[in-house]
Amino acid sequence: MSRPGRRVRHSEPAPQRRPSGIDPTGPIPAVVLKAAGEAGQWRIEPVGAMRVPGVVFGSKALIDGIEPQALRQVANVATLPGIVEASYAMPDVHWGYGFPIGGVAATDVARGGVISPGGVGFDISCGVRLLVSQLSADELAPRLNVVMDALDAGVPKGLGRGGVWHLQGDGLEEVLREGARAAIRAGLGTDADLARCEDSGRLAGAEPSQVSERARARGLGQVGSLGSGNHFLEVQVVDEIYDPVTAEAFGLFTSQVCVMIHCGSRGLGHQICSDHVRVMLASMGRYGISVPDPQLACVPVESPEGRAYLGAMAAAANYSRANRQALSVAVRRAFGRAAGTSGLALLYDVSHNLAKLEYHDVEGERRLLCVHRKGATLALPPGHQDLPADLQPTGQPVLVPGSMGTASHVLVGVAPGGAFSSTCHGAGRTMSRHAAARQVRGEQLRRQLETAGIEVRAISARGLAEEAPAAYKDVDEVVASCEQAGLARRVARLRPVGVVKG
Amino acid sequence: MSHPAGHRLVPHTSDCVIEAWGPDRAVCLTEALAALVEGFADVGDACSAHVVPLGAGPGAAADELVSLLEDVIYTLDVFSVVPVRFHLAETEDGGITGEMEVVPLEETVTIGPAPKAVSYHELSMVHGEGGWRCRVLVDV
Repeated sequence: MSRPGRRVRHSEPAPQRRPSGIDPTGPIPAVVLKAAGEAGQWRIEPVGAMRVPGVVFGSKALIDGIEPQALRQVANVATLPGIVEASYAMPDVHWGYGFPIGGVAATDVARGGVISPGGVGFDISCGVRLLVSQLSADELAPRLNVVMDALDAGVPKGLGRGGVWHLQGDGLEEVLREGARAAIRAGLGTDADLARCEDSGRLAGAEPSQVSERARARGLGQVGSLGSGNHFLEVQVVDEIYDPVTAEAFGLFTSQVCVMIHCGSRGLGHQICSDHVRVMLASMGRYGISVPDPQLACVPVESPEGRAYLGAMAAAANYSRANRQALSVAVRRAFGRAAGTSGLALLYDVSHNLAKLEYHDVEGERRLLCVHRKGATLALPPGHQDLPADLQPTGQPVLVPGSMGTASHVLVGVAPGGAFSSTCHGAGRTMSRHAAARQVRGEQLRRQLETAGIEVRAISARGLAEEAPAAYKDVDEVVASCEQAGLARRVARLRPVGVVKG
Repeated sequence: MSHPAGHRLVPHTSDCVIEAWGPDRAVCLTEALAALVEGFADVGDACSAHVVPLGAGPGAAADELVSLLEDVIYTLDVFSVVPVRFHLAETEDGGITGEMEVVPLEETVTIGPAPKAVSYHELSMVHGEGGWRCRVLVDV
């Protein structure tokens, strides 16, 4: 039985500056979203300049909650030169700028496929890592308050400069080239950590020469800091196990204490994105490219501007991985002082804002693609060559942070997967920061969280209110939708007992 | 009759949208910069003898807007200072020049997430009957 399509008209005002090639005064076709044949999949058939369809994953309830602007952005991404298969949207998709947040798009490098900094996002290689202890919730409980105070004092957060790692000499250059490996060489962690980082902690192809002085200045004093916005550090407890075999392989057990770190490349990554969007806006006309939104500015991957961005982006990704590695050391120190154990092993570290050159089968052919994941997480299946030997049998751990104070999840990549081995990255916002701040009082939320047994250490009450759980989709439904759509499988659910927020 | 000036922060699902208006370009830009600061800091009555020069263009008005906002974000990120007042004027060649009074971050109250970058999505800065108006999305 076919389900009725959902007609969505977008009501965005026309941007002032549009590149030539698209008539800014012409009618904007309606985006029509229809249930696809597969469970939990919805399609936007190509209209206008779309080169491929849009495919949105999610339950009916999640789909009904998507803003029309986000669907328009899924359609806009489908116009990018060289895009293959579809412009994908994960179940947590929401309105971004240029790309939707929760979008995945792959372009064919050999066929003029483009790279777009907007498809990566400002916070390059923003991601999540999960540290797992051998403590149980009951063992931590008497010390939780002290642990939270130690984390509050030991983890730099919020605005301005300040990080746990003070770089000396050519330190920033090494961070940009070597990523988490630079942190390990500086004594901030062990080789065991690197084995559990995406790309072993270092994304190849970094070109620090493509990183501007302005970006370097912004990044220099911030290595090992959380930042603000939706970034957080949480002490969590394994609440429910869905897949006991994989959970055991990941070293997870019920009631286990974990620490989740969610942050990215700080000011350095944002500056790199800004710098290269500007270059591409000025140069894409030379390649005959026009886009429906300037934040989708792009150039062919195989162009000087494209290679320059990829080199700078990899450098920012390495910065991000070093940042999370340095923060891990701060967490271990805090636990060592306050809980009597610094034994927190890294389960995995994975990005959800990145473009990577990957081989995938497209129309029966192995092709090199530039896969943009903007608010979407890599989810490698069992046996994938990029996984370390001990994760080959299981597949890649996927870390999905929920909204502050609600559940987070550990998923695992599956075969064949979908959307070029991608899945969701979080709960996905449903409410603007302003609406959340108007509806929720920060101090009231803090009391509610603490009544629920969650210790909160936050810089501002409003910042807390803006990240209120009510401002987000139901993360349990998001991950269930991913499982239903065959994008990943649920392994464990984690509930927070302590939140540190910038 | 002079046209009114002002600014507001408009809801956006994940970030911050600034709208500002003023009788001339410099006032409109000043309002946009004030809105950027209001989004994350309560500067109260703080005043300062420390000033940082600001300038942009000449170029497209929207590009000048992006450039000035980025300068404030850069200054906040690198020097940990928060602007409390802006003084901008148009130059003869069509650019913008001026300065911002700044105070150390510790002298302000943080009330929201830090601005990190300026997006070109739905960016506009236009002159109309009521003077200048701009709209810009800031990543936080």
